[in-house]
Amino acid sequence: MSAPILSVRALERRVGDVEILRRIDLDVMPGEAIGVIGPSGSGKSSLLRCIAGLDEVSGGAVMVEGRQTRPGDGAVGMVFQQFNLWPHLTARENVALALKLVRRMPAADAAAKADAALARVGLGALGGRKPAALSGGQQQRVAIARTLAMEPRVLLFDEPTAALDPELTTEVLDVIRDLAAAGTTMLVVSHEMGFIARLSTRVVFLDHGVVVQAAPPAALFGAQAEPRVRSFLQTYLDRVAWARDA
Amino acid sequence: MDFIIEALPSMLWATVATIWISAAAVLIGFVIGVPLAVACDGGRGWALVYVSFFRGVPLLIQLLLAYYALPFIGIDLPPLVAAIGTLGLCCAAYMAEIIRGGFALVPKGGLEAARLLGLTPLQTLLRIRLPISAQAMRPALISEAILIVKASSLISVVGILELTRSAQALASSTFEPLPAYALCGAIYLLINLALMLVARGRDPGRAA
Repeated sequence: MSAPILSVRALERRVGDVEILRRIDLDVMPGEAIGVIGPSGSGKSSLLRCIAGLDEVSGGAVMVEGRQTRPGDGAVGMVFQQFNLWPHLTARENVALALKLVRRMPAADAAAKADAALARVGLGALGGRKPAALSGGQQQRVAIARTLAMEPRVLLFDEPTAALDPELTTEVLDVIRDLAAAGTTMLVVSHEMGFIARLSTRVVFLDHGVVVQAAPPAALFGAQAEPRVRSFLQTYLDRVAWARDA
Repeated sequence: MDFIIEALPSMLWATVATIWISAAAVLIGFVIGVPLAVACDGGRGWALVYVSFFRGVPLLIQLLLAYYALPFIGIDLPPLVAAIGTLGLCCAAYMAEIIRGGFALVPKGGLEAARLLGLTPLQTLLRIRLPISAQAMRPALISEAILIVKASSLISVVGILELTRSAQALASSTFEPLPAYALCGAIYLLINLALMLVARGRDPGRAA
């Protein structure tokens, strides 16, 4: 039995009187892909932001390989819904900047590594373009390359396709799937249920800041779903029902 | 025509003085204005007091204070240094407000990404926040530079030989105040027209 790469222990987050996360416990093994689903406001994004250190926690701890994490220590990488690229820099410069400033790589090495990371997300030819000259899907893939290049131990995806139209969603999901297949440890918040079901080793269902169920997708999306999970998934199925008839 | 020929050498030197004094003040203003903007955004009391003082007290009074009050408390600065310093410190207060406005336009997500990737706050300031907001701030910063060129005429009161002081000297030595001040005004106009061209020519919203 190997040790978890990521341990979330009794994690709590309160803002004023509102409890966003209530004593979340979660162990993630190396190479696992954890899908995080749940209704809006259930705390999915907060969980990821607390793991990344972007949001203050009110209690509990987040450990990566046994060490408490701090933002910027390289343990955790995050891909955001809004990409958050730097608009004044080209794709290559977006990826290379932290390699130069944080990893202290010489400019040529950083550019070469940036190109390799861009090639890995299928954008090898577009390194010279600024974000405004890229499609949303391409921008998100640059953001993934920027995070990958820093080689974090755990990768967090916060609704990575929610800002994309359906055609562009596919290219981003394909990249995430390839990373998971290559053994990248990741947590993915998404409303793409089919994608989560196929990608995840385990799925966590959050509601009102509580883990209602954490189980392999076959169980959580199947007969062993908790009632609250089942009712959530039912509304989802009702919404996409037309596609099943087609 | 004779007047121009007679006036030209002294006015030329005075023009150079006005330009470099203004440039130094604007440079000081920007270099101090950036950390001042960060401090104001961080709610630092001293920064808010600083900005309130330099924006709230007339520049002329600030200059007179620097000239008369600093020696009184044992700080003896050459008049030129005191004048440029005061102009620069005052400029910083206004620039800090402009820079804060520019920073407000930088999306928070880009700063979060920088933080997670391990960039220090200083690196984030210099490589992310300033470049992203530079385009938006430039017209207002150049406006401020134009104001400083004009405000530099006030330092004539502490005896610095710049454009306004030279025009005064010329007016009293030639007994021809009108052409002296007209020439002086025209030179200010030319300097500031050049600045306006800089503001306009590099505006990406227009054809280059």
